[in-house]
Amino acid sequence: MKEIKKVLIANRGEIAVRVMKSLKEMGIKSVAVYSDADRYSKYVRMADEAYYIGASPSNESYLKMEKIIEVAKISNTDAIHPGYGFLSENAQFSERLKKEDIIFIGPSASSINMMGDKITARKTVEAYSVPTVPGTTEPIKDVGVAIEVAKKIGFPVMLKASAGGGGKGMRVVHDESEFESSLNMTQREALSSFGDDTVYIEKYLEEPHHIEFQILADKYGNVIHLFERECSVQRRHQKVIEESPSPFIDDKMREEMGDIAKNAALSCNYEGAGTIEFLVDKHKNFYFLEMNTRLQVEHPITEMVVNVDLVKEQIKIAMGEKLSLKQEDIKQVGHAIECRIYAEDAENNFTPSPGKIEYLEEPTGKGIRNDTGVYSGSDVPIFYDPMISKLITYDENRESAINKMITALKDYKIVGIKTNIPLFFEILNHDVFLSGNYDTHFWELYSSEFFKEDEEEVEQLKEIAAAVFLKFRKKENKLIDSVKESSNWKLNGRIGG
Amino acid sequence: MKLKIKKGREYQSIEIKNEDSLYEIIGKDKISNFNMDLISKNVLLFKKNNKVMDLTYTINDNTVYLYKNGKEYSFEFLDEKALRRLSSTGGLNAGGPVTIESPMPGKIVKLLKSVGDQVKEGEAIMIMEAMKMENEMKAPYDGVINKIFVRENDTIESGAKLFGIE
Repeated sequence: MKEIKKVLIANRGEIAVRVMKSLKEMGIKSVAVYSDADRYSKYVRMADEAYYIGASPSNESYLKMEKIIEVAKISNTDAIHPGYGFLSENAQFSERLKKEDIIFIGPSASSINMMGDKITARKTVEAYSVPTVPGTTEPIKDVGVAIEVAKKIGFPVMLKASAGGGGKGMRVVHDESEFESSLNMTQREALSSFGDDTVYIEKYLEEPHHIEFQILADKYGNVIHLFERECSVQRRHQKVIEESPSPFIDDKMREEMGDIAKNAALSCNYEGAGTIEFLVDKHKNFYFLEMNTRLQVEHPITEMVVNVDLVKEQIKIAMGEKLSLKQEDIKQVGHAIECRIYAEDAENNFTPSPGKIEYLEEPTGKGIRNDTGVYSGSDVPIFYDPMISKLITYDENRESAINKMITALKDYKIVGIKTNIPLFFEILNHDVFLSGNYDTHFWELYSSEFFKEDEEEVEQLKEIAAAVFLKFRKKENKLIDSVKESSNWKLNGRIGG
Repeated sequence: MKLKIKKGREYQSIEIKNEDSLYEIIGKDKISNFNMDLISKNVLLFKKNNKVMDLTYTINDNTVYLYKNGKEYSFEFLDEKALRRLSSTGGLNAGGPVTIESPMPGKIVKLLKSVGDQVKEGEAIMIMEAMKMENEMKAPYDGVINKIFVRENDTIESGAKLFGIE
């Protein structure tokens, strides 16, 4: 066992803040690294030590392995927490740290490699009786051959970038005519996002649910699952709202999927916190989709319902401790929901809306958690994913967790930039979402109903805006008047004297 | 006091009277009364018939931004002085050509339209990659593309001219 006294967080924003909170609770020192754009970020302010690592674009800072390792050495860091994104699923990074005798808070390079490439991942888990979605295990080389394969599997099919993730580099193809152009677009996106244009084909499932299982595994082959997260509300394959438990699966299925998730973790000798993603079709068949070999954005909803701090568990595992939690200790109690709050214009094709947060009021209360990376006066930089925070509510059942979320969102005031908060009112008040019977088609089926403008309200707001404008003008004028008055007084004083 | 408020490409008149926190808006066919206090730089309190609306705001030049339930509403005003200045330079003419600028820095991935193309409001003119996502730059109005300022693979700054439409 190697003790961890100081941890460098090779990340930024809300996840760096989140990790530091657990470190502080464990009495471990934290080291922040930052780019130009993050000089004054919240996580930098929170850290015990902070080191500048380069220019704002992430390939000149947060993706610069050697620079980060250099800082780790200078600062005498025992371990590095990669957060999510950036270097979190980089096998080379895990390997380099091992050579440098710095603990990587995450899995080994070989686990990352096995799960990072989707084709290898399928083969790996299939050896452990984990069901996978029908499709090709060979990358697409020839369009003609690929079309034949797609026809054999049956349209619609899904095109997926092998190195993709987080919903990027995926496309559904409904029929043969659009196959080639979709393939080109997927390959182009894959090349620019991941530097690898390998794409393969998969069966597209009917009314699929995206349901994932959280697992924890130690170095000694002990694996537990911490139940599921329902992540079927997605826009362009990007998760928007997550909840736990899933309103779709029953206890029998939950147990079965949990066992299979553990097998998937065992198949790649996993250690640390990881996520097994499944697709569940309308007939409740479930298939392994992929494994995320890192902490997930949506991990807090699991923490709420099972009452476990996943970051602390990651650190204990990294130190070489045995899992102290047994499967039977893990109980799913209550209901948690997460909304991902982004700086984007939800009503204008989700265009990023970076800028200065002029004013901020955050929701508080029992069962309300806001994992945030910003503060009043801070900037949302243009260089990174524009997530501001993750708002999580927890209550005894689904209905009250949803109601709590609606109230919390109303209490969340962000002035200066546009956010996607209006979107959540649309979803959380939608009958299909409320019924709990929604799948990954939710977005394409219902998003056109969103954002109906209430003309009467806009008219009222226009009047208020006019009042604000008038009041402001008066204040400005008063300022000018008072300056004039004082100079007149001086003038009169001189005349009088 | 009379104010002009921008609606689409045109300006609408609005007459407003104020005493302390009381406001009266005189419209074409109705008069509306309410209470409003600017509590701080970003917080206001609005009341109408004792009903409260929870709003935050900011103001930038002549534009007032109101936030209700997380949604930003912006209203651009002109006072009489600005109005005189604008009308003397012909700036109030609606229907003229407009240049669309990039709302963010990024890279032009693909041009979908060319100069002379007739386009509908909301139609994509080009695809731009920013924040690792591909975004469509759309036509704000029905019209004809009269200029394209960028080429494919150009890296552009925020505020760079993208295309003109009339």
